[in-house]
Amino acid sequence: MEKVMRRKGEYVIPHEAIPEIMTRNSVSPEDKVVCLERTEAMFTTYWASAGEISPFFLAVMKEKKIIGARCPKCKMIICPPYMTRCPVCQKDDKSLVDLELGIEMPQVGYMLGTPPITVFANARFARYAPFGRGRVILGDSQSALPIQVFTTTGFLKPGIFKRGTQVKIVFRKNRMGFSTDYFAVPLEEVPEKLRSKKGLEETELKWQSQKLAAPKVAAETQKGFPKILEAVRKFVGEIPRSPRAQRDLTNWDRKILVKTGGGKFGMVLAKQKIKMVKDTELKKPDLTLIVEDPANLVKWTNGDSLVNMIRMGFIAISNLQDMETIFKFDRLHRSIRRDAEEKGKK
Amino acid sequence: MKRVPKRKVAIVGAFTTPCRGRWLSKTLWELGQWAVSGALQDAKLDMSQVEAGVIGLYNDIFARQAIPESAFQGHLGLAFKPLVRVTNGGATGIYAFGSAFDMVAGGRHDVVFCVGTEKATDCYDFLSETQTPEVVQTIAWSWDPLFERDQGATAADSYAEVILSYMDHYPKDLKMPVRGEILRIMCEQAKNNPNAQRRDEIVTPERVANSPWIIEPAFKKLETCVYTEGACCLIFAAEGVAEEICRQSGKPPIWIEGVGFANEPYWWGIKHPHKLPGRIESDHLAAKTAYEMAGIGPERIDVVELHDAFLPQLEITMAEMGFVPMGQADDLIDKKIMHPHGKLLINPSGGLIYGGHFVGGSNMFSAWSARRELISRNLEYALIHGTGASSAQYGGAVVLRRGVI
Repeated sequence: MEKVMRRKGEYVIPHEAIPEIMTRNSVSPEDKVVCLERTEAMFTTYWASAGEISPFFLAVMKEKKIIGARCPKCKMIICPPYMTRCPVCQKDDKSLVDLELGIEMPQVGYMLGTPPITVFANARFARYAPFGRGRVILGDSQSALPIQVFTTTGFLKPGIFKRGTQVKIVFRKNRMGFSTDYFAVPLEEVPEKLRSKKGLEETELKWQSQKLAAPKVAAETQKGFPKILEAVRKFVGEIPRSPRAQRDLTNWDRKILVKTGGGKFGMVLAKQKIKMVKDTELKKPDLTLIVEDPANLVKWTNGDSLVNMIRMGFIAISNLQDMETIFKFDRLHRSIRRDAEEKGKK
Repeated sequence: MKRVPKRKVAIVGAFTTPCRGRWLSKTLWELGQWAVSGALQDAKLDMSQVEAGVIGLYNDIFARQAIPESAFQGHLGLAFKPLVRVTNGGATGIYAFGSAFDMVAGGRHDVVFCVGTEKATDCYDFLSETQTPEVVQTIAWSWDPLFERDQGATAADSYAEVILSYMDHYPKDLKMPVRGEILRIMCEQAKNNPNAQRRDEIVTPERVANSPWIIEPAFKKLETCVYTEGACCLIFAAEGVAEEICRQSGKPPIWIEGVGFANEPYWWGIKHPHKLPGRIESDHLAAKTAYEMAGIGPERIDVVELHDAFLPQLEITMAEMGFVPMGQADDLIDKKIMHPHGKLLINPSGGLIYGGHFVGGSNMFSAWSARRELISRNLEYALIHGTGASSAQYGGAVVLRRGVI
């Protein structure tokens, strides 16, 4: 048996995701019934075998190769080699024809379709959003290899990957036998001398990160800034009157510094509300937002999405792993509106 | 080839609970029993006449119990009788419907009920202190564990890839203003559904356009189905028995004229036997089979209750089922096909986006709504549709026809 590889300090269930044993009494909002709630979990842990697919992952780990399988009868090639028999071809005895395994695939291919960019991710992946995941056709394969897609240019924006975009397979430096050991980047972002290289590693490419430059302050923007601040103050002032908005902010504390082309201010999110403060009052902000044009903040108070603005490059965020706070901010307008509409009906 | 069942089957009773984001005061078992009780009351039927049941339960993790159907046996009044659980991803409801139909059409039983129930939002993510990421995570366990799950494939990805690949092929279709208008209509229609989850919401095309992306550039927040807790029960009876039950209840039988199912392969690729980009072939084949069995085409359908997991997928599915050409799904609005601009009622319940989506029973909820519309508006034909699984691979379709007492 080989040595066990491990990612030290990383767990299949993150410790912070596991609640303590707790109970609470909650009142059902509609029928006012008192109900008991308790924390539970339903889990199983595994040493999960990759079985007959192990050679694929071992080839990735040890040789930085992608392998497929081929039917000797119909010549269909599949990558990944997700099965060992051709589901179409039969032998004389009517059993299914065995595929030839271990066919080495080229490491340049094309996207089968435009890959989705995930903004609102699963609990396990929220900290990595936004990220892309698609399918690539390598060589003569009839099936597509599911793959993560990255750009070396910083933020993954729509349009970088499309149907037919030529991509290069890149391998992680540390490979442990997961489908994240390899990923795709646009071929045009790979220096020409590396395009035909097999087993290209991530460290051989130059990676740009999002730059968080200070906004340009303009006199005209400064002039209108007090009005913008007032609009934001008025909007967050609605939160204590909206049960839905308060629920959106439950158990979430953040100190947020907002730098705009008209000036700076701080927001303190605590106890299910948001307090506006001077930027100097924030000692160590958890998050910084750069909003070149502060009018975008007014758009947010009118229902536009901060997520969209970040995606479009109108707003920069210091910590992409804290998109959850932005999701919560984006929920506020709808929550406040819905509570106000309901109140209006009553 | 036209398939003809051994005998005709009708829906003779139906009930659905109100759809809610969370039924804090109800367990899964209570919701299921409530739906059965309501359907028996609707059909004015003695429980002793029900010979067997089918239960649609999507997922053990939502139920917090492995083999969760076992606990329902007694609750549903089926002690010492057969109860079959069906689970087929998002299409659980339509497949449960098909199984219950087969039980009666094949001659094994005269009266069977088909119940679907779900509790999803007990799931809670203690990192973000919200429910949705954990609900989405639960659904994401359905991705391939070796090749896909570690890459962060989400619940929404399943339809996002289908929608994006359709947009690759037909970049001029699925225009945002059209999507917004369809959503506005469905939201409006949900107000006439007493059990709809989002009855109080006001949705405009502008609000749709301004809502955040869930998967960019596939769909936005206001284009996605909701998570619902609820239950629905339908009672099926064989020809000969159905008419008698309907005479007693005073409600017409709703005959199940056509039933069709098709599932695409899991793995995507450039040719068969792989799933092809730009298509939901399962929907096409399921509807085709159902039409053939019913002996009609889409032009005879008055009301469609369609599994709208995401709005752009609704449009693609309508094209796959023959109501508009592929690549011209926007004709639903542009050519005034969809009511109130045109004649065809689409998702009068509000659909899964505004009505509710309790996965195990959503398609039964659709059937409940279609029956309601056929009776109240005196229409003739309805089409029910269900879809599901990791790449929208599962498809089911049912043609209903209003009968007379």
